[in-house]
Amino acid sequence: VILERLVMERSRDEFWFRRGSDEKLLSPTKGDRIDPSYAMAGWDDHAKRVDRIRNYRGEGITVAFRYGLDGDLVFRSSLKPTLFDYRTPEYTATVAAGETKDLAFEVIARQGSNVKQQHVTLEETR
Amino acid sequence: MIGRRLLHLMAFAILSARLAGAQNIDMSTVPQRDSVQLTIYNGVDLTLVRETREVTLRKGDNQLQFSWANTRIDPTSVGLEFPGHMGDAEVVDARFPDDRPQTLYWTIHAESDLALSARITYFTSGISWAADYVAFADSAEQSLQFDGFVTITNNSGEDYENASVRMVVGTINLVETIEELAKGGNDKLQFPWQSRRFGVAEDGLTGLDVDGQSAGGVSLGFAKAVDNLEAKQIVKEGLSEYFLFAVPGEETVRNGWSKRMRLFAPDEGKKVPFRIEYRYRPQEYGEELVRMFLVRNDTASTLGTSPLPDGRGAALPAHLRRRPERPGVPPDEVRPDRPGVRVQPRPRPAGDSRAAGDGALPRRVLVPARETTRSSSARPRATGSTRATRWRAGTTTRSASSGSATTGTNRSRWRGASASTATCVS
Repeated sequence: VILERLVMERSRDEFWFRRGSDEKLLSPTKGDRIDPSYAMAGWDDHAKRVDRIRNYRGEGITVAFRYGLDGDLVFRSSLKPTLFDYRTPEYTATVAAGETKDLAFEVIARQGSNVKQQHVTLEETR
Repeated sequence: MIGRRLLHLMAFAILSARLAGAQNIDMSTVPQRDSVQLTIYNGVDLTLVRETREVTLRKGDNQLQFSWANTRIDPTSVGLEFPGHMGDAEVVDARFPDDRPQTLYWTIHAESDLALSARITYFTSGISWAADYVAFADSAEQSLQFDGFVTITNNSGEDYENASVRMVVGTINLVETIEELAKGGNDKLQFPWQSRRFGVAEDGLTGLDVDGQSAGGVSLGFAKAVDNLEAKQIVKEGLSEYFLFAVPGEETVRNGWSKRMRLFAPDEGKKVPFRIEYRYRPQEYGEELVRMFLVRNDTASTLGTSPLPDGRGAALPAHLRRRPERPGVPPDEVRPDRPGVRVQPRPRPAGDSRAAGDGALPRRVLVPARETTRSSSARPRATGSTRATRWRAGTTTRSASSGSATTGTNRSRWRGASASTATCVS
């Protein structure tokens, strides 16, 4: 049985900028005009990942995942995960004999001023 | 021999009331140890020793000398009592003379001439016990033949002959270790209630999940050797937050020796059902996919209702039992049902004593011949229609042997994947 943990795509969005010493945050996606002199205050990191399981055994197997993630995160998937604790999603997959199964999910990490709370939020894939 | 038999209950001195306080002490009586009981705590270096000796007291004040030179006894914990003789004999005081290091004198007042049993209790370090397990799976991987053992090791500096041995499952918390107290000398004497605090660990009674990861260093040769051990059923009972495992009968545990006994009764652990689960839990097992043999610790599994103590374990596949000429070595031939798959030894990280997920075996990596490394040039082949499809969170299944996708919607670009992959093999 082989497990590969792949990162398929990375991107960033939800940018927020700070104008000088002004406490007000500005977002281009909200229609605010952004000057090149503005400092970046916050953003979201997106990582689309796949846990690939190759089952070379002669019978089906069950694979259980449980791993902690640090930060203010969204765990978005259709894997029907549950939270073991506030930062640890867990989910289970069955893989038939001779089968390769890809378990895809997206982890969205809020950064900078976007961070509200250190925890993981589960979301169903839209 | 240095370090052996150095605990002395040296002398029973007889002083009449009118001679109390005299400097000459009659050492004519040396009481023998009649019985000794060891209660060994697991997880901390602590053993409670309770021994009885027949002593003869004369009416009035008597003196008893107790010495612990070259042993690891905690002098602050030494106590003396006379069970069943409350009021007949009483410990007046205990003195630690400056000129006789590692010695104490008890002054005992007797109401009349008496022959009675004295119970001496103390804590010592240097005695430990550990559990270990060997389990063989049947060829269908449905049940295990489960053997458990306990090993008692005595490095306390003292021989304990014909001792009744009890082992406590559960973790206690000591502020100071007995060894430190034993080295401290009289100038650091504190009474036990001042120096020690007990607590219960959060998961002190956790049972054992038998898994390949915890296996280590137990070969088939060892497993066969222990078959000849004397069968002795260890009695298990609950004790508050702990469990007490008592070895029936008496054992002689000499200093510097270890003694190994079976943990299970003859009818226990013969055919234990188990299930296999692969787990990826980096916080618990590291960055590896591990194969677990999960066993229930209950009556139905014939492992009884008391928790198995933590210990090292080896879970071995059935074919190793049939091939004793190669203990601990897995077959390295190519499996006929896996064309194109070869066996490749995988080096274990330095200092990693854990065994592989396939029992107590060197880890082997089964890698398809054309995919020995994961890189952009050695990626599995995907059919043309699947390579261009978009990524979508969910699951995709394909044939593991062919490497091609059977569903055409969920494969995505391989761009940038090679630098971010992690491969775990079990």
